[in-house]
Amino acid sequence: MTPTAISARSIEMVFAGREEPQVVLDGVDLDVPAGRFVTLLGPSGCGKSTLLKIIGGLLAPTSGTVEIGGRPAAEAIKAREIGLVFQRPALLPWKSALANVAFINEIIGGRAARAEALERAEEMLELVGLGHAKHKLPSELSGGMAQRVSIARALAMDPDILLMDEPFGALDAITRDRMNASLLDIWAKTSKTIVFVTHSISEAVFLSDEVHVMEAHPGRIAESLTIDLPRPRTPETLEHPRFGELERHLRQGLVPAGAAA
Amino acid sequence: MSAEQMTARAGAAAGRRPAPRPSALRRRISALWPPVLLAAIIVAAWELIVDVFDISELTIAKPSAIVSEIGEMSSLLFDATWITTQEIVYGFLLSAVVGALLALVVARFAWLDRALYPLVVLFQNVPKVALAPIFILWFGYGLTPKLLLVVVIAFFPVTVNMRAGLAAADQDLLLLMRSVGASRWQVLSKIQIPTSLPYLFAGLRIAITFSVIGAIVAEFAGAQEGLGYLIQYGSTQLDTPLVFAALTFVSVLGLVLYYALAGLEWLVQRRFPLPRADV
Repeated sequence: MTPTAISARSIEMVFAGREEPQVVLDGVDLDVPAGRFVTLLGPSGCGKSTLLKIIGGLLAPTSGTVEIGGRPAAEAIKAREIGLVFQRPALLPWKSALANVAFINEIIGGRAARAEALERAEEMLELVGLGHAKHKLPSELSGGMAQRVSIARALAMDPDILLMDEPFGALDAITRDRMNASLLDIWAKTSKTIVFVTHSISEAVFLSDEVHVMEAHPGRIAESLTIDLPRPRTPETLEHPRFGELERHLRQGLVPAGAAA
Repeated sequence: MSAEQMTARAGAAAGRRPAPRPSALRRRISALWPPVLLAAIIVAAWELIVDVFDISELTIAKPSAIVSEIGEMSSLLFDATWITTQEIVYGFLLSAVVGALLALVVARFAWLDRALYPLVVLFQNVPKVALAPIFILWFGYGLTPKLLLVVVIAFFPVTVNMRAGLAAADQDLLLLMRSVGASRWQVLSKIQIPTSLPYLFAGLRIAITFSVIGAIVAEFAGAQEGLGYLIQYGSTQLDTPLVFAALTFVSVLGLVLYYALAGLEWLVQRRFPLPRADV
């Protein structure tokens, strides 16, 4: 049996609302086995990004506990066990792709770690398929390339876990498909545990081992579905009859027939 | 497509910044001649009107009279310019340092921001030009009261802009920095300060024009040298050509300082380019 990478227990998150307190997460339990690709799928406002932040130790829950490899999330992130990828690449515009990837390791290790950080950054850029663009500035990269740089930056610390918050949400559909394929490729090479947030049903099915469907008001996990599609997943996976079935099943759960808006 | 454009494209494709193109210079020159032409027309009309209506030289000096005044009084004018330039430049540099430091301090300590910033804004409502006589009273006729007046007038735009710039850093990036345990100083020096530079320069552009005003007003209030002093001296002596000659020097000085700053900004911006909206 694979060890558990992430274990969240009865996570509750309440924000002080304008009139009454807003329950963003209401008793969420989540277990992610090591090395799995797990997706949190749901509409805007269901608390999936908040849950991701809590898992990453960036946000303290109102109640409940998160353990990463057996220790509290806040400790895990300090130990650089968690890499973060956001919706926007969030690169430093005055640094080259290479310097952006090396940046975090330089911050951690100081001047002494510079040479090593740059070497590692080059490897990571090769891994995400951007070895040729290492000296380009972010303004010279396309949206998809910039997001690859930010993935390389997250991988550069060599975390056990990668948390990705709608990383391809701002990209066009074609670029998004390509990024999904190359993310699976990177995942296969690095064997990280990935928790991926999205509101795209087909993206969730294509990428994941497990999809956790979230509901809003209050935010909770409504259904957990194992995606039993064969790997490696390729463009042909989209034609697989099981792909259609799973997608349909999830869509019916999220968008009940006859529901307007 | 011209040869220059082709080269520029090849440069961009190779991942380098395209070299400044001759066509850009030509475009700049073609943008320059309409205001120059208009200025020439205004000067000519000025000369003509003063001549045709036979306006007294005590009321207004015509351009040719100003030019000959500058010729006769050049050493006096250049000495005064040197004095005023020092007041402006030192005052401006002080304003930049004080303004930027204040922004850094209020960005670092939230409680200080809450306590101090409203007072700084409130202080803006004091007509600071009116402080000039008080500064003269306290510090005499030397350089100190001039610098002080320049600083109280010019630090504010620097602070406001830099404060906004420090707060404009990418929130996700700050989260990332915090998550790996970066120190506040690292966040400030690696992300916030470089991000704030375009904002800082927007503030400095305002500050340099305010510095010119501050220095001239301070000289009005009490000085024995400088262009502001010459303007006031000339007007009490009914030496209108001298007043206009000094005014011309102040204007040119202001322009030169403004464009020197713009040049510096251009250099800094090449090192720290602005983020693109989607990156």
